[in-house]
Amino acid sequence: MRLRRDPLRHPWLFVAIAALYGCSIPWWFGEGAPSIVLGLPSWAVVSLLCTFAVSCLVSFAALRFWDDEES
Amino acid sequence: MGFGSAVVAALAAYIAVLAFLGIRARAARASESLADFYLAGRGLGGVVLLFTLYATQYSGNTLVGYPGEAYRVGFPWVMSVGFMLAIVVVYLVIAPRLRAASERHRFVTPADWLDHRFGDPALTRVTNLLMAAAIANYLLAQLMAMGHVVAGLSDGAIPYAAGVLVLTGAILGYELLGGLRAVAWTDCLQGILLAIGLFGLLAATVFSGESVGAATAWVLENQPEKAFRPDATMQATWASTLLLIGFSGAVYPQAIQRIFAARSGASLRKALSVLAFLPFLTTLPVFLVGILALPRLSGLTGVAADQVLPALLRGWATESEWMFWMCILTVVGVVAAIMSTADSVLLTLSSMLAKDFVAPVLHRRHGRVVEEARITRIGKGFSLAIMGVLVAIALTPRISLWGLLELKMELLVQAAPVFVLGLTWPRLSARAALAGVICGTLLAAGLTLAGYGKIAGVHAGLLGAMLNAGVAVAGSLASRRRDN
Repeated sequence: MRLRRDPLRHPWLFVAIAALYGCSIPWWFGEGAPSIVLGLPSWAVVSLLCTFAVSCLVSFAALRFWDDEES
Repeated sequence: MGFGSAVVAALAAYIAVLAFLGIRARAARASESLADFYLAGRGLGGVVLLFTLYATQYSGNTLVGYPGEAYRVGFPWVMSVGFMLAIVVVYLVIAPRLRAASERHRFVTPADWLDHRFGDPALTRVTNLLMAAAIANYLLAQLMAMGHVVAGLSDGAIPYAAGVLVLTGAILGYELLGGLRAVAWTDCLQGILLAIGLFGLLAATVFSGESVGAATAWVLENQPEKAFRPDATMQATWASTLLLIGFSGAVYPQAIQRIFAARSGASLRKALSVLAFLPFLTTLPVFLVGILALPRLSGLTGVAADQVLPALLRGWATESEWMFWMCILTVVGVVAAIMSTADSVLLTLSSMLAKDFVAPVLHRRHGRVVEEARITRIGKGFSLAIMGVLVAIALTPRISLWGLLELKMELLVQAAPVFVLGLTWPRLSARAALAGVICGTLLAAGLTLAGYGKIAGVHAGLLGAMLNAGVAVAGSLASRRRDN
């Protein structure tokens, strides 16, 4: 059994995941009291949205960029 | 019926079902081979694989330790959703190649891949020892969580020690009967119960009339530092935790064995594609529970903060009959989550000790290959011995659950460069990888023992892993240049 498709052959995928994780840490958020969005501090909501985007990318990559059936 | 009595009855019914599944798994065994007992005959399909990965990954730490951590840290603990997902990201890097190699070479334990890739007994032994020490620590955390949960949630009807002993006995029973087949089947039940428990938790939250918005407003007013943007040190800890948990969680030996146990590549791919979304259905509600606890409970610190979830559930259960039963479901779900992790770790640990440590000694002594049925029997003996020792330690808890988890990760992450680089970089040499593991472990252990668990917010384990990877890469490049 050999790998016909391997997620590692798509470096942009991991660059995108790293960028989204970078944005999920609120270093970019200003000082002071945060506004409330959906009952949570706004920076926490943005963090969750970035993490959800990573989930979508990982799930997509597992289904589309990985194939190890008999070749 | 009182809350404590209802918890006891629900747990008794749950343990009876586990026993039934253990007996069925025993009947389904095809042989006494290692692959049949420890890898369920390499026949785990997509759904069972998803549930067993889910139930193994989400544990007592997630459901009991994390609400306590959200209570202590506040909103920055939203990082827990990201770091549980980071494990799946690293799976995406290592699982395709590991799975393909396993299909060709029929691996049983992670050490089989190490032997195949590097052919260096010293590297295999040291890496295996690290992983075994780390997951033994993890198993201890699960046993302690079992005790805390049943003591806290049964209103004292089941004391801490009795909870540890009874649930440990149940795990040993079905595991010794059916091996990974029993563990994976019970993981399905436990995964379903965990999902129901989380649904119960969410329902309890909604029907308790407490809103996250109100809790956030309370935090901003009374403990603003927990809702403001985290400071630079906490941001560094956030990034460090993402990397630490992502890399160490993906090289859990029990997770690697599930990659070997998959029936096909397609079943593994499908399982991981769903697993990527489960932090939002598991870690996120648990984080919100910790936030809701902030206005409701006050003054809990250290070990007591692990009682955040039990304290909330006891309070909610008194509010209505609907809430009462939702809370009972949650209790069973939480116990199921803890047991499903403990059983997986125990099975893997016993397989590593029997096959990787004892079997080679017997082989050398007798001058012939030891029968697989005998190694399986030795592994079962190790299961009993391991649980005996860890139960004795669990009966004298001294540190909080998150503290135990961090100690485990500091060690386990030192195995990550060997697997990640070994699978992705053909030039990695065995000697350089071994030097890296030794340097990284010494640095991480030295810093931790000297009281520097974090430096500028970065975990000692991650600093060790960075040194580890640097030494492995530099050593491999240098040896290649020398060879040329």
